[in-house]
Amino acid sequence: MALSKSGPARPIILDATDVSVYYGEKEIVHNVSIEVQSGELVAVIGPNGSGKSTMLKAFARLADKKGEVKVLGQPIESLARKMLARSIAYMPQKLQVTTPFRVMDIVLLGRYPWLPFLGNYGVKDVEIAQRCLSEVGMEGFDERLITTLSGGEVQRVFLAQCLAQDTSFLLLDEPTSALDPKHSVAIMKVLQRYIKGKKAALCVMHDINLALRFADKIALMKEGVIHCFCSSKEIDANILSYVFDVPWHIEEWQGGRLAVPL
Amino acid sequence: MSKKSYLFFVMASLLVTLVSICISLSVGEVRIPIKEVVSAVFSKATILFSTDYETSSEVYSAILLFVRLPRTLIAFLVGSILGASGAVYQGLLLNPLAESYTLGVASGAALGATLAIAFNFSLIRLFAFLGGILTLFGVWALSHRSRSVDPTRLILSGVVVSSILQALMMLLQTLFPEKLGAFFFWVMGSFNSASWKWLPGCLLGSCVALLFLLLHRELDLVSLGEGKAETLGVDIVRVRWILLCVASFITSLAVSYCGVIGFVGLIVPHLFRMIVGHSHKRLLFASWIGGGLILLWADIAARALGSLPVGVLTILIGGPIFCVLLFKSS
Repeated sequence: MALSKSGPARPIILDATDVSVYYGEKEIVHNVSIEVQSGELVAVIGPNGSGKSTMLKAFARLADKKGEVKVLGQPIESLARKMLARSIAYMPQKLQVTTPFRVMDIVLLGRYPWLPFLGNYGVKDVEIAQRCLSEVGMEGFDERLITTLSGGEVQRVFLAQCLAQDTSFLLLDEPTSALDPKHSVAIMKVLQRYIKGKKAALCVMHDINLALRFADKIALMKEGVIHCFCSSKEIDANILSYVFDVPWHIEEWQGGRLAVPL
Repeated sequence: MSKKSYLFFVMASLLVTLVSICISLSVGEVRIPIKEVVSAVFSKATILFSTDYETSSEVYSAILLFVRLPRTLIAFLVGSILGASGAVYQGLLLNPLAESYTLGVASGAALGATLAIAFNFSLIRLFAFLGGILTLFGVWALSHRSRSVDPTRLILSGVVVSSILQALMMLLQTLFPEKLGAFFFWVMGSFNSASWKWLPGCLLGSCVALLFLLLHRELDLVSLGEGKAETLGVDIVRVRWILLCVASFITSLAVSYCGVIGFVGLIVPHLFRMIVGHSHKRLLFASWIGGGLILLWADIAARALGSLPVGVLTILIGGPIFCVLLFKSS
């Protein structure tokens, strides 16, 4: 299916052109191009092993790649790590929580890119961290150790860290994978609010219905290639069936759409 | 640990250091009463610089000035270097077993000194220092990959290289049996020859170890995993390389003075993590002062037991402590 790339109606936050990503010699993602505009929440969907997480890592400058990735018009390679961290926040799929840090310390680390050399966290940084914790529903957890939290709580703490980073662009690898339905919906609403302020987000997701409801655009990936990049309203059962190798049915329901694998 | 409790810990550890220094000054072949120590150090400081040793008080002062005081200060400073470096190694490599021993730095420094002794080179300390640094470079080269250094490979390379270096040391000991006494000093570690000449080097190393505190946030970020640290703005390859180099420089410097003293770098961070937590802002200071205190007390015990090599005591005491920590954590 043809790849559609929408026109630049709003400022472009992420512009990736002909990006191929490698693990050693092996090419995992093949010549993908994607453009994310300000105010857009883009979901990346596809079967396991289709290269979604690898593509996100390349956009975060964590994987070897060919092709060009620009954030706010600047190639990501041209930016120093700290400057890049002021533009892109990244939440990996697997979160490392072996060190028992306090929740507040973890969220405050999100403010690190904004600290001057050898500078210290100020009152404003602490306020931002507290606000972000409360946005993800983790207020009152400041003093808890991260190792004592459940998987879903850990995921929300790291999301709060990404929000505290206050970047123009969020790269989130399965941000709701460990969350119950109530918190999944709440987090997607938080993301919707976040991107309204001239920001954007690219999220790898496995919940198609959550993506259909909250994402402005959806990129469907299979075997390292984006097969469709379009408005979530344009996603139909045929393309889902093709990408996931299983029949799908989409039903209109209360102004929205529900997708079910058959 | 709350802010208040941590402040209490800092004050208490400073007080304990002061008391330990006084006790250390009194213990040895000639036992000097604590009262005399306090009086010599705090009230009669001018006597320390007198050269007329007629009264017993003045003899005590001479012992304090030329033997005990440099030894005490150096034991504390070397311990602070090993403790803080251990915390840095473990934080950087995300491995609880990381220390100068497991990375081969201590063995490299000891081999450098052994080589210098075996072939009668005069610059033993320089050889020890270079031995430690060159070993780090070798271990780093063995574990380097395209994007970064894999911490597990680094430690595995360190363990293997360390074993090879120790075998070489044993070979030299076999080939030069007449120098076994001098070799023994480097392998076991000792403060028996400590003098004021050692102080500037040890003081420099200890001050640098304290400066690790400036990079506590970077170490915290590394603890979150490489990917997270990089996307939060840490140039992980550069930070890892700089901190490993600096930690190995000061460890090699310490080994070049007093020989290999094992377990301090391994045990101290584990011990103080249980008290002050995992945040490197607190852990680095606690490991610095705790390392100094533990080595100071190991040296006091070594002297009280008749000038035993301090390195033997640190292993004899540190080993069981590590086992207890391991048992508690499981």
